[in-house]
Amino acid sequence: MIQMKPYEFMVKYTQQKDWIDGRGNFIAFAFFLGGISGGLYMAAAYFDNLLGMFVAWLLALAMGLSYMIHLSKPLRFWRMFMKPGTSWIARGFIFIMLFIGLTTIQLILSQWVPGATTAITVFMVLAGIFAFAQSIYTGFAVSYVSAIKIWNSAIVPVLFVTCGLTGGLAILLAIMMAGDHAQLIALENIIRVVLIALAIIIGVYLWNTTYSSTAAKDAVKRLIGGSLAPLFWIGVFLFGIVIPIVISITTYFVGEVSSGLLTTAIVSEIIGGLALRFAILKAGVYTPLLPAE
Amino acid sequence: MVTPTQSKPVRGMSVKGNPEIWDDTWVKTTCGGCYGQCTIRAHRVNGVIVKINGEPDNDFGPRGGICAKSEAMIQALYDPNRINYPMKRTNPKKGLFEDPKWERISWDEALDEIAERLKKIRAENPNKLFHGGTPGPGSGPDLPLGFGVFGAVFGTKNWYVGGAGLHCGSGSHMGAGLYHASWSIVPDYKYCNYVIQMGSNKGTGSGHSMGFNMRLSADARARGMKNIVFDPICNFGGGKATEWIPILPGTDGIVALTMVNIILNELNIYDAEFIKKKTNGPYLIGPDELYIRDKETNKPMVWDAGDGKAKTFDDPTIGDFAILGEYEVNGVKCHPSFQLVKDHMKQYTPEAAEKESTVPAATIRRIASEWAEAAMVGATIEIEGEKLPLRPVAAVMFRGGQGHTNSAQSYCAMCLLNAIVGAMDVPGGTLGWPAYVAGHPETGRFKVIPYACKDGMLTAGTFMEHKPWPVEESKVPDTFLMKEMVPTASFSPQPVTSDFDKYWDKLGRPYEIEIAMIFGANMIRSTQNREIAEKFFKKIPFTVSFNILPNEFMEGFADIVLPDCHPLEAYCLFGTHGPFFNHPIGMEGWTFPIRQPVVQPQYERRNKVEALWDLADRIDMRGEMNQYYNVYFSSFGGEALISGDIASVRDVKQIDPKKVTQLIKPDEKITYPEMMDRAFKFYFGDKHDLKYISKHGGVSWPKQVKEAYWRWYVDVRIPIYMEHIAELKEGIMENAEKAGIELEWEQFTPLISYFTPQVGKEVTDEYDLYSFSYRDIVHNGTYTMEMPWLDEVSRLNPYTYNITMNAATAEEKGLKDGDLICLESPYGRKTTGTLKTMQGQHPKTIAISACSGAWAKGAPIAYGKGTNFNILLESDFKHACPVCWSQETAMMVKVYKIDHRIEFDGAGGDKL
Amino acid sequence: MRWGMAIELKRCVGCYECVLACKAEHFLPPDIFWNRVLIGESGKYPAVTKLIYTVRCNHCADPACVKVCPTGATEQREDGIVWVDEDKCVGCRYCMVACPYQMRSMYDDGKAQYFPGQELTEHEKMGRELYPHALGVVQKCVFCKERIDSGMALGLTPGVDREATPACVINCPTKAIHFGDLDDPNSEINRVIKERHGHPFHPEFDTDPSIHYVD
Repeated sequence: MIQMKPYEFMVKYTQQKDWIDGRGNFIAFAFFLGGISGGLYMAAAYFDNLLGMFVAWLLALAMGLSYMIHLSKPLRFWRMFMKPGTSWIARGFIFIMLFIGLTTIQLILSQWVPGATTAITVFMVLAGIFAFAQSIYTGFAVSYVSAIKIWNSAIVPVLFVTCGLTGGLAILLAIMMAGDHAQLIALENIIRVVLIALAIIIGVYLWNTTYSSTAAKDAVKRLIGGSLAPLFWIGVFLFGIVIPIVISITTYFVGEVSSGLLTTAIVSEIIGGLALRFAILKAGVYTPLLPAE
Repeated sequence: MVTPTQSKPVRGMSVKGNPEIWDDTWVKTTCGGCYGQCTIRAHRVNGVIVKINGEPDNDFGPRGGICAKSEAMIQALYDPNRINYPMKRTNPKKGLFEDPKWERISWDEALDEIAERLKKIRAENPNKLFHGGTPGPGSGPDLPLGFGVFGAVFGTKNWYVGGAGLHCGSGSHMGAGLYHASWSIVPDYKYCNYVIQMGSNKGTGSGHSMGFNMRLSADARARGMKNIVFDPICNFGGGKATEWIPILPGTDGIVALTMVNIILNELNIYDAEFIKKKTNGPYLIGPDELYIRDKETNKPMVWDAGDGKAKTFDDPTIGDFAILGEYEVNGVKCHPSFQLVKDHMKQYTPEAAEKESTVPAATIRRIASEWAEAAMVGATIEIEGEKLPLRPVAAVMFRGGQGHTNSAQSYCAMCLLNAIVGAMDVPGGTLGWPAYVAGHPETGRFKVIPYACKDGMLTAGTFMEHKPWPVEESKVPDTFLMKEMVPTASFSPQPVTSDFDKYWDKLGRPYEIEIAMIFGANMIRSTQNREIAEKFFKKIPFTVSFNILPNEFMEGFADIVLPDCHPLEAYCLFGTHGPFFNHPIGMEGWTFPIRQPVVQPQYERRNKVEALWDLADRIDMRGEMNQYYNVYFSSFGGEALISGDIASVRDVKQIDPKKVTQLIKPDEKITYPEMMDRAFKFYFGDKHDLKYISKHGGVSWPKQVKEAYWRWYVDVRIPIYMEHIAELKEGIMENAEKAGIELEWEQFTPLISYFTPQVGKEVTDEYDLYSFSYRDIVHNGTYTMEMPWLDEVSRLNPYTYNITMNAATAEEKGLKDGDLICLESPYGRKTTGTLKTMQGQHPKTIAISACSGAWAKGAPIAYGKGTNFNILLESDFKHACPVCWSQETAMMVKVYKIDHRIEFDGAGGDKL
Repeated sequence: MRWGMAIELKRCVGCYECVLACKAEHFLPPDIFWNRVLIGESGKYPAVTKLIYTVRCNHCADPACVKVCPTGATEQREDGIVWVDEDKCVGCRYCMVACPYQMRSMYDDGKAQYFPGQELTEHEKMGRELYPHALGVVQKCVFCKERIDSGMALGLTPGVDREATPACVINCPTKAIHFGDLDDPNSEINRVIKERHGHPFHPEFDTDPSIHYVD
């Protein structure tokens, strides 16, 4: 997948491949799932949409599964709890488990003991915190890697959370379209704001990292003009931002829009979110060890 | 705190868990990865060789370190593609890509068949046996005791060395022999401050004395020695230079001569004492280009400036040798040769040199003056109580610099540079590999001493082939190699050429080759041009090949293949032929290292020398072989012969039997280890028997100052004026005419000169790039390509498997990194490979490293890797140096993109 | 005590023996490298310098890999050696991603062999007994800790006695690599680093490497 001559390894800008090639695909996927799961839970909790929270719970399970597939020794997964003191992967794993556990309790209470409102609220707040943690840690896991300059940015966690949120909101939109239309307008308003925020964050992120180091500049070049350009412009920009924004704005001016158009926006948004994780992981470039030519 | 290790520690090795270890043995032996023969320790665990270390306790190598080839020799040992049994070809067709369809046979069947054929031709004409190989890689060296002997005793003169004149340095062996009584030269890294290196990778990639050169040159670099490298590519030699100077291939000679000109005629620096006493500089030269000789004694005359009259050069009454001026002796006007040399140099101006070589005139001027200054003419140094001249400068050259049709003259030009400042075999200067061994302190044996013979000139105590001095007379060619016609030739490209048949026809085809016996080597891939080689080898009715691994030659042309031992499973007595080949220089200690099996040979692999003895038994030749060994061992014995060269030993019968120690009786049938035992005891005293040597890996003793820096301890002179070449010219021309041979006659000049190499004459607008090849540090010959570790690191190297070109040139031609390109010569020869551009390459060149591009099916790791450069070369007299017969190893090419690797069409392996 | 190296770039000729000495010492499978030789060039024709760097794990005093490891499989010993406990590694590859020097490998192709499609060599088979590699976990240079530990147990000094010194160091034909204790002010490597102005490779990575280079 990554075209590099063996003798160029760390002599030229070297793309990271451990978190993207082969099994590495699943970690990108897990980050994506973690993001939308967290985003969806937070959005669904805000709108008190039980189905949405349930789907978020399912997505968190899928995230855990994707994570396990990524590990080459999955049966030892329990060891990943050992070093939360320094390791974002350990912390993240704890967040996911806590999120799943808390959401499970909250869902059970909401479904079968709807009267226990205090308990439900407590668990929903707690689960919401870990939904956020689960969503943002994927960003910290990446941004902690100081070796990869394009990752090593404080904007990355914000970007990942925002992107997760847009995905979550999109899924919630789909859920609402299928059922209760009452809050659709309110949701759409939020989506518009968040989408525009995402576009701004991506722009600031790329602008900012370009100037952080030569390796990051090389990575940005790859994203906007190099081998990753199709993924970035079609996946992230077109699907993740342009199509959803155009549809959102259309809904704003037109008012009622066809569900087909909204579905397009939702699918497009999800593809965009996935593309963003892949684009950023693939753009992870190490500084060459030899002095530049 | 973490526990240090979970395993039971085992001394000096990394183990995990607690494996049962019932064998943990270090065996001292020598590496067989290249000619270098570095001393090593092989680690055997539970019967398997697990790693190779360098030997830290002697100087014969990197003192504890080792190179990657040596480590990877383990993989050649255990290669599942090894030849394990004698095999016979069942496909009658021979050719580059023919499948031999091997059929296993027994040793008896194999040897019986070979013996029967040998017997027949020995009775008819032993010259019908063509024997050869390469004394090293992949197959035990055993040059003096194995294949060299067999052919010599058999009686054939057709001894062909693998890649003759191609991978080897024909000009440098001739030149080093004439000037240093040695096979090759090295800077005295310990004291040298300024080296000019031309077309060589000494210490950085060269196969010659690899180990100690790597170590000593690294010490010198760390010490701050200046190292100026003239080379078309900045890779191995150039890559470790303090200054890399790009140069066009084949033009080193003019740069060297220009520096001589600047030093002699502009700076007026020279070592007058050296020229007077150590060269033929004072010898008077008449108008006929020859020495003025004393009428009675026929000795060359010199002018005694003290007495103001001419005397013979060795007259003890000479007060002062005149080296400048014009005199009249025997009624003719004459000049000391130094005056002629000095005047002759004036034509080599820096501007002319720049035009030819592209090296800026100012650079040549600067380096010449820096170097001359650094020579410190007149300085002395005291080493172990001996006062010696100190000349801390060296100019060295090897294969690249002299692999052209101006080989001999270019190499001698570089030697002249050293000679004028007296930087030869003195501290800090250019040293030959040890030419002077006073002998082991206990016995005085294993002795080689250079001496003066004809005209007071330096004569090597021993030499690999015929000695460069005294030169023999030219003869009408009667061997397939034809070099008896030009006695200055080192190795001959003939008969593996496109013009051989023309000459042999003209001579009436006195006989034909009926049997070829090839030891090691890859006569088809490492020889210039595989198609020309194919034509020659295809015609030979019966070919025998000894080797450890299948190669292109064997698959295409061998009728019987015999499984040789790998160097790690073999005994070998003479890893090199005498100290002048690969022994450490300067005050580095003496070691006589041996090779011994670390593991026993598996299957039916055999020590090839013992197999040859079996063959000798079958053709009643064992007694003669035994006698040869007696002569050979005695020749280093210090009491039998002054010379130990193979050529003189060839004619065994001429040697006074009284001077030969009988180590082996004619009718004795001893084993190889028994022979080793006797030879050691003879050389180094009774206590140094096989048992002792096996334990210690050899015998070591200290070197004396007079051995290390022998130049002023031996009364000899060297030819800065090559009178013998002028003298030979007429005879050679006469004999050449009889064979219809045309050579570039103007090169037969006594005044060392520059001639444009053949490659330079073939430059056109269309064929505009000089292509050349160079040695890669991890490869040697062709067989290293089959070792997976070396293959791995070759893939990790940007240059090893790629064709390289200057980045700007590539851009001009619309080419980029990774393009599959074709190189085509003006002769229509083509080879292909992948382009890698670099800054460190002369813009008019294109380069291929190592001898890659394998197509043998029996060597799957090597298959298709890299590019075979040799395909591009022509093999004929037009592309050979007329004086030393080096091949032209550069070729003009045009380059263009191509869609697949055409040279593999029909190879039968994977499509490339 | 802190083990470290000083590498003299002037000496190194890029012969790759450090790579193969390590391969032999640890019976490394194909395409796994605990050390490498990086080759490149700097400058423009004709003022060109060839660059040759022998590189391996820097055994950083402040190692990114140790911090990111979620399981504690990557550990740092008191003597500074960073190693991977192959029984603890889950194969999340975070350490591989985090190492700015990219000196870690994942062994995940158990079928890889040096002569593909042919039988395993005796050398490979012996390797599986003497130094088996766990599949699916990360591995890296361990500064030949087994040699150091067994050597020190016998009273030998790493960096001085061959048997207690890493394989790449003792097998270097140009003596380009020095090994010793960085905490010992009198050690040879500290002398080399001090006298020849040694500097770590890319100090800006801020991991405090234990390997220093001298020009």
